[in-house]
Amino acid sequence: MEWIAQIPAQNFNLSRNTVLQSLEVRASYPPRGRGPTLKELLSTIASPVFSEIVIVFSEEEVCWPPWGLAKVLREVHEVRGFRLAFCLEIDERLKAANLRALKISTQAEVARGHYDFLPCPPLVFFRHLAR
Amino acid sequence: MLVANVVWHRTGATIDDVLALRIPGIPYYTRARVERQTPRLPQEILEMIISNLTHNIPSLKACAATCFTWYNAAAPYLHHTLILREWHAVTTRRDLIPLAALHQLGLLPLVKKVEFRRGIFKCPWVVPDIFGSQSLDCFSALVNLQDLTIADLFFSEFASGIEKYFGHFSPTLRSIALVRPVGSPRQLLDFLGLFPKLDDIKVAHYLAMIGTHDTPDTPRAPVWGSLRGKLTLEGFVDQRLLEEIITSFGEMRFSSMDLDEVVGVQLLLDACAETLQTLRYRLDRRFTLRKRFTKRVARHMS
Repeated sequence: MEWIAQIPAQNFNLSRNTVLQSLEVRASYPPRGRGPTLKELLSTIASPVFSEIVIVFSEEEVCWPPWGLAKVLREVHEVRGFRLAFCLEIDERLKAANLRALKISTQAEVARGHYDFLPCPPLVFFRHLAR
Repeated sequence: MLVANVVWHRTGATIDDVLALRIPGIPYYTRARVERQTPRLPQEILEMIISNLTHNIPSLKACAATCFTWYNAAAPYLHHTLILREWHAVTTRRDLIPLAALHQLGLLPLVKKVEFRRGIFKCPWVVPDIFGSQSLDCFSALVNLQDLTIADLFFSEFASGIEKYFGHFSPTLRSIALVRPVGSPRQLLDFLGLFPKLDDIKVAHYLAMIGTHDTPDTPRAPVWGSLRGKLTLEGFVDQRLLEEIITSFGEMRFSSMDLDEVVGVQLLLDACAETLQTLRYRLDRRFTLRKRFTKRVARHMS
């Protein structure tokens, strides 16, 4: 009997995916140095219909968004244009305070001009995981 | 209000008469019918109200307690998901209490999703022992099951054939999630192969055991028709198994993928190059080894 538990680092590209429309990213904190970065990954996209990046937050991460996210997204936008959305994923019942916190922090960032490179302000929505 | 308008136009009664049901020329029984029908909401509006509460179980329960019409509208959502837990590690292992209770009430056809949650002390409890004749009867009443989630499924526990317990879900099952399944790659593939109409597949933190179950005589897993939904893989670290799965799946046409700690991502991306519309992955997450889980499994198997 053999237990398989070795995981090498890896890279991948999206050059062959011709109908890719959306990329959803769960940004963890603190950032680690393994795997492709968002900028590297986006530079490989060849799909003509790609249009959207969704940053996914869990309820624990709402209060601790990744540091410098807007700066990273600005750099990424120079590689390829996209619309931006923030998604709050919830298990069962929505805690309205968490969604409100995400909306308020996003509005504050928009007011400071952190997302002025986007064609429209980021969309904020929530999604149930349970059903 | 609509009924009141119609009555007012046809009889020439005043609004006060209509509201007080003092309508000339209309017999009492018609007035009574108007009185009964007036407070009832149109079914479409009722369904719109209920559909906004699908994740709010307390509100659904309150709606169901309102009247029979509201109960009928709320019941499919209220009984949509059936969660099965290990109630007691020693004494009641054979009892699937909510399942039996719902069966007695004839509500199992409303269940669309069944979840076997993690056991007490995180030990596997979804074993043949819990499927007594009564439980199997209950399971056969789940005729509309579309979504099945099982935590800690040890394939080797089902020596007599796992299809006996889960095979009858194959006509309706569209989505399956296996969290921390343990077994050989062939056992995993054979189990997934029981459900040829799957659209969505989730395998999280699979622990592959290469052992006695993968002899050359073991029949190969059946090939699916076409997988068009969502593939979710978490903690999938065996690239050889991934290649075998891609071969067994036949034509993979997943439109969505959620990949987290997966080795061989490029294989999956290339296999669904012409269909993948949404890719989800975790940015910059460090791969971790689950030493504690491995120890627990080793202890159980010994």
